[in-house]
Amino acid sequence: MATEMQIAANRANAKRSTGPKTAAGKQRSSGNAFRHGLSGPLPADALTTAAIEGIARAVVAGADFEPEEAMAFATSELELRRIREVRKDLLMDLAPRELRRLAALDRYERVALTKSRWARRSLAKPAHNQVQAT
Amino acid sequence: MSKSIARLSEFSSELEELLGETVLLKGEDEELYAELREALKAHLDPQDLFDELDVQDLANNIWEGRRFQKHATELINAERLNAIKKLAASRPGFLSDKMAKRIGVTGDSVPEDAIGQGVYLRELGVSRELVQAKALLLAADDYLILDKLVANRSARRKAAIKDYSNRRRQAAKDTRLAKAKRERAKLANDNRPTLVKTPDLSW
Repeated sequence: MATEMQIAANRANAKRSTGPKTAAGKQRSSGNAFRHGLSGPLPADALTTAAIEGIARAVVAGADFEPEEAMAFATSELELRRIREVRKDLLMDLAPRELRRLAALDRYERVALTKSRWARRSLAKPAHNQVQAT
Repeated sequence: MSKSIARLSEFSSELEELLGETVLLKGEDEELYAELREALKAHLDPQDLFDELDVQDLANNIWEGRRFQKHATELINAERLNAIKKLAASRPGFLSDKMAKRIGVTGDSVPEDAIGQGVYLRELGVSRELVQAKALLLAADDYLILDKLVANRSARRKAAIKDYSNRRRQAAKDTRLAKAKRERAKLANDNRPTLVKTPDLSW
């Protein structure tokens, strides 16, 4: 059983080590658990947004699809490509221990594939309706 | 082919630029990959964007599956020397003096040039299968991962084929229903009673 003094010392020590204080330190430690970023959504940067819009625009221009469905389709396709790019980089310089990482990437890809399959199906639906209409 | 599908096909070259991807790594045979893709295209006859994406997925999965299979084979081959060394070390007296003298084995070290010589293995009483099995055991951890990767590719291939055939079946059904609907409408139109003009009896 710790004495009162020990408990007080523990508390004082704990107060001294509660993580980074500066904004830069906080910023840095916020990325401690970051591995490849594949479990999150696509980054909302200008390049990604432009790529999504480019694909969606091409799809909508190619057939009379709903723009929202086309955006969902484009996003899911880009997510898939992002994972495959990471895998390709990994394969180019494969260390023996990285085989496990390769298997882990497959799990991310499976989730992205399911998403993509659903997006493809819902995008394909209006086209089928149109086939019926003609 | 419906109008929308036809327009999509025209667009697929532009979309292919945006969505197209290759799984090829440096040094892999681009021609062989293109050949595989063309063969799949010829066999499946893609009609729209979704079919083309399925063809691409299939080609990529087949290619990657083969690659991982090759890795697995090479992994086992690379472990053959270690396997023979382990087999030799685990059995005291495994190598006869005569044999050791002949191939220059000292202790548990086996010269690499002795591996792969059927004579050597026969004289040791070791079958190739035993060496393969030992090599497989030595490489088991990595082999299992590669095996899983191959199995995943196979499952995805099946899923892509299933998606493709479901879509084709649905499209055929839609076309059939549309045709039947048109025929019914035409029939109804033909059988509709028409007003017969009353003859002019005023004369």
